Amino acid sequence: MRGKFSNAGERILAAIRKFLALIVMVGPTGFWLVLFVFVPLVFVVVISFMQRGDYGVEAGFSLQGYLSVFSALYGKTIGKSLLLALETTALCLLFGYPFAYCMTKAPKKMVSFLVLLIMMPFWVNSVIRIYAWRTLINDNGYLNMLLEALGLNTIHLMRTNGAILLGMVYELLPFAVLPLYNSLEKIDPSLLEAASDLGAKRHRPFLRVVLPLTMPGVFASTIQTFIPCLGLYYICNMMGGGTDLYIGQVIERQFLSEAHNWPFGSALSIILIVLTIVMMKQYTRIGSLEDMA
Amino acid sequence: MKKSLAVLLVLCLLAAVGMTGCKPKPIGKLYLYNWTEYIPQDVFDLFEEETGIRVVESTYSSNEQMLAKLDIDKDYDYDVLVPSSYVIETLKEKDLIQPINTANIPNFANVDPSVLNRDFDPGNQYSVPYMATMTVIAVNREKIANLGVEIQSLNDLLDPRLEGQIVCLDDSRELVDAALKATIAEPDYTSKEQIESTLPWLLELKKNVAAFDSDSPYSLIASNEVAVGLVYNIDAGQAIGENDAIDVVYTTEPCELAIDNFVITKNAKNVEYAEKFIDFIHRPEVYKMILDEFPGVCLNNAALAILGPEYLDNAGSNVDKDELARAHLTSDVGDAGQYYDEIFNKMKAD
Repeated sequence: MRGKFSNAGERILAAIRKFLALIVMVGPTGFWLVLFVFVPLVFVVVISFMQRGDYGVEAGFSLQGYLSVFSALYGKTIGKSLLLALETTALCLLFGYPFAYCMTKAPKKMVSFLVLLIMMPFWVNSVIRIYAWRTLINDNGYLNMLLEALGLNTIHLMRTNGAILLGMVYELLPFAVLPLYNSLEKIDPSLLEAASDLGAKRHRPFLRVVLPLTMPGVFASTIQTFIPCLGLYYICNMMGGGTDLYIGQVIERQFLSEAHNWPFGSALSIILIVLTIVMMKQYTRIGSLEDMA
Repeated sequence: MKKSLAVLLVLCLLAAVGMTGCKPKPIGKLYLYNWTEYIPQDVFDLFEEETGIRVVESTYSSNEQMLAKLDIDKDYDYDVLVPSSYVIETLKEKDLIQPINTANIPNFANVDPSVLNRDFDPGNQYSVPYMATMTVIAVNREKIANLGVEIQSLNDLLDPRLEGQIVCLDDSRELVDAALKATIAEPDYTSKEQIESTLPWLLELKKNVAAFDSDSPYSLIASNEVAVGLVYNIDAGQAIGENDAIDVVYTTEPCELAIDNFVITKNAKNVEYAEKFIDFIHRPEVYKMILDEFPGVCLNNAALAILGPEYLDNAGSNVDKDELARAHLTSDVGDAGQYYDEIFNKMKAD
């Protein structure tokens, strides 16, 4: 009996020893992901099938959360949010690509400085940075003070959709630049030399060699700007005038205001997640998720 | 250099130890679950100095957040809460609060009688009013005179001359309630049909709205960017403090009012501490100290008598007493909350 027991114990020990390296290396991250990504997501899925209650949710199965999503009202809102994400992504790529390109051409010493420029905003909480933008672009803010001092017309930017777009691009630009820089840097200069040897002139080496080779970077940038953009509702709240409705704001209010409709908020979140996954799947035709690394 | 740094460090440490030594150990603790930014720390310090009871404060930013927390965590150890009037009944039904013996709170006599004995707690068996928030209309006298607009009713907010000239709270209850009062003589705040019937009014209003903003609507008013604001009285007060042209006007419809009240929880470990604390807050000098920091609607008549002109002459802070008595208490609408949200979303998405 005793022998059998110790035998089993030894076997368990041996198993632990065998997987020890794996447990030590993947364990903490795995634990983190399960606790803070998987479990909350399960919560959201479960709540989305429950009933609306006094404070937001009550036990009992219901599909009402999902049924409410499928009204013209929220279709329009989701459309508007996707459009904002698309515009943000396009602008981030437009500004981010040349910047990343310049970074690869810059002298080695400059590169670390440029990376620092991109990383520096992360030292300050993003809500505070958005507040700073508010004081800059307010109708009586520093930007208009400067324009006035130069004898130019002042601009009305604060509380417009333009201000929301500005906030989004500002917030997400670093996430676009870094993957682009990564893939641009990997390009072997000899490829460009070969291209020019073979007769590629002016913009052709860029269009035929650089751009195709950096598509994975473009893909990663797009994912990293498009998806967060759908969720950054506080930028819409802080920069916009509240006269338009974005999906993040609708979701927020289901949990934090008198709507207390958690199932509806959860259902909206799930639909947003599914929609994003579908779009990503479509998008993998030009890149793959492995490029995200 | 290194040596002197070390010496400095040791000195700092000693100083820190010395300072903590100054504060005597409290005889007990009172756990307060309160709105954010509603009672300044100085008040708690003064209370501890006097009674030896340390106030440990946790904060919430919505009644629903507070309710949900108490309902989920049955072993909560809060002694005193500060819920708005419309959740008192729910707290009673859920058996989360206990009756208050106002005989042990002598300063209860200072509370404005117009906010006592209301429907949400007849005879104030469970609650002692603390402070209130009233939704008012702030106007820029010069700007509305130039536009030729006069605001006597909520319907005047739809005047086409006010296009782009209004800032509104970004809050479905406040807006739909205003629409209900403007369009229906005696509105039923829980009726789906009535709530949905306000959409045309809200869409008309939206044409005039420059921004929906609950965080800092006063800044748009104070900087002359808009002529009218449907805002909380504290925002109006802040705008008035910064700009002499700003004033508060009252309409034929009553204002919305939310009274925040002290209640003692069922779990409270030391009811005596709680009573002492509530009594302390309603001491005129203490209440004045709070209003100097957070100028809400004063519900303490004795404090009103000693407040300075900065508070009394500000029409946003010192709201009209008759209007206060006439105001409509924002009520619990239960399930109808989702219709408010839906109509609000419809108005915004249009």
